[in-house]
Amino acid sequence: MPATGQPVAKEATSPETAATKVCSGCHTMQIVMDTPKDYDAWHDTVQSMIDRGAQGTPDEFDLVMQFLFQNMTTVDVNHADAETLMAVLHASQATAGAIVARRTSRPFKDLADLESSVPGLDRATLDAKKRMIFFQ
Amino acid sequence: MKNVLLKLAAALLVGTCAGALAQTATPPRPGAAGAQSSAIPLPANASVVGSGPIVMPPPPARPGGGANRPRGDFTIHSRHLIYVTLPGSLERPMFPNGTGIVVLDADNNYAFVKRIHLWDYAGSMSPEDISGVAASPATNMLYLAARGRLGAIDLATDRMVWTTTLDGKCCERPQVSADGKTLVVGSNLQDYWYKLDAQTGKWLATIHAPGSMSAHNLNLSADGKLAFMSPNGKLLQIADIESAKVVRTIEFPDNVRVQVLNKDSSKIYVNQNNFLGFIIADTHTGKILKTVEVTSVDWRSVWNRSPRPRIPHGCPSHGIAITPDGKEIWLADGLFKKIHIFSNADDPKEIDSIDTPDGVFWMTFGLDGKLVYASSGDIIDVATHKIVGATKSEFGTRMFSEKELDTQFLDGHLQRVSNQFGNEFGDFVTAEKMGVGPHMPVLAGKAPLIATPTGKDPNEGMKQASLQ
Repeated sequence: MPATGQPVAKEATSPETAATKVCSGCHTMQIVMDTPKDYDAWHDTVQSMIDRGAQGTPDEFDLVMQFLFQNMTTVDVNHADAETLMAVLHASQATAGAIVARRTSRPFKDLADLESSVPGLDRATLDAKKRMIFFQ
Repeated sequence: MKNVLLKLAAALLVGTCAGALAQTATPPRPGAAGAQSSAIPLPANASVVGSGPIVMPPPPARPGGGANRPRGDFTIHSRHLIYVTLPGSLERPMFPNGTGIVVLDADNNYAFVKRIHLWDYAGSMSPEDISGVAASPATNMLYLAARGRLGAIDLATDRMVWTTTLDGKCCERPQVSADGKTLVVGSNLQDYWYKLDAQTGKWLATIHAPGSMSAHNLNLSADGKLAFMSPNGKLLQIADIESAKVVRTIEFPDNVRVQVLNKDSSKIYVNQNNFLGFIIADTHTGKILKTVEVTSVDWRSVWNRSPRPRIPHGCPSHGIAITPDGKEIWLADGLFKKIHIFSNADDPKEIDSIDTPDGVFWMTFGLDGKLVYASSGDIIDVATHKIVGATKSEFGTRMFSEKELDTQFLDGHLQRVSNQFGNEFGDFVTAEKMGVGPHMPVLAGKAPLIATPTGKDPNEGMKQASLQ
């Protein structure tokens, strides 16, 4: 008889599956998808969840952070680094570079300004994520 | 291709959420454009869409630029441990597993971790039975009641911080409040319970329960405010812990034994002497709602035989629990060495039974309610009703204990702990999640040594007269 009651779950290998496995182990994904936060706040949240018993490998927690970074992280277009712009806006390296170049001379005013000034951004993505995009 | 699909899925997911928010036509909230007043100060550019969550802008970038982000530095020094207190059962004579607390690693096949030393016992003497155990994330202490004394162990060091004999008539099953400030513990078969400072062990008040001699089991409501004090007698008393006063009583036909509560603590399910089954009572009115008897075995002919079978606790059923999903009631059967499982409905029916190698006289539900730790040493999967393992000592021997705790640690600091009693609301963290418990703050790891062992009884000199 095996002396264990712990079923061995298959390790998640993609951001979505990791988030579903780790987060949904305790609560619904709705809680995750409700409130976008900045990256550091998400990092603190995931640590808190680990402290409360969230189960996952270090690699799975990195994938969870990747999922949150790409989907639920706020961004300040006028100050974020290129990596954040690429991840949050789902932009290419060239597009992120164009954003940085433009804001250096003239900060963006709003989403319309961003869309009209920088080619290569996906309008549907920007529209879906508009509550997470800030111009400070 | 994979990245494209990932982006598409994420966009759809976020889009659905944002779309739903955009369609909500509710008055503007504080901080939103058009709001009359702003009770909550928000940055001018905080994102507020309909009635959806307020999204705060990211903090300013660090001077000199560069990412704020920490990478891969989560602290995952968590331990999932089972604390088995010994001697914690009436099932076996001669204490085959010795004394102390045996700690097992639940994440590593229940491997032996260590044995925590308790009080010193003379080899020539029988050690006192452990009568109850509880622990608190707030104090990071484990509380151990024995027939004659009470002790608190600092879980960061496994050292006994304080130990007390109180008035010389302690102690029965303890319970600690969610905030870790109050410890309630039964006297050893007297008609009162003690209210103590959980940090220091200082005796604060006495909860008198006249008519309930033989103080025995103690349970707390989901919000931690009420104490359900059952003697080995017919009169269960409910006390307000703050005022240390009895506020209600429930009278049962025969002596009450183990008791558990439903989600909102409105119903109590009890074992009773001379009965293989359970009784459900309304905790507000005190009215008996249902008497449910096991009919899958002919227990009456066995129990009423002369001489009556001798089993631990002297009653056919000493152990009851409600699964955290509220769907099942588990009932220990020491007579036939079974666990009977009932549907938790208006008219509960037996839906399954589990044969156990030894009699079960207590069932401790693990955190999240996925496993049951039976006093027979069996570990049982709640979903499949199958025995999946056993709690064993460092010598490989099966341990019998009715006083076990399932714990979750982070860097030596207790984060969650199961209750001895199989209440539907589980531990305080689960109760909060269910919306019936108090708020449980998330605790930091790296537990400091909270209290310095003094080696002194905080209640030294207390006399029985002080109870009057």
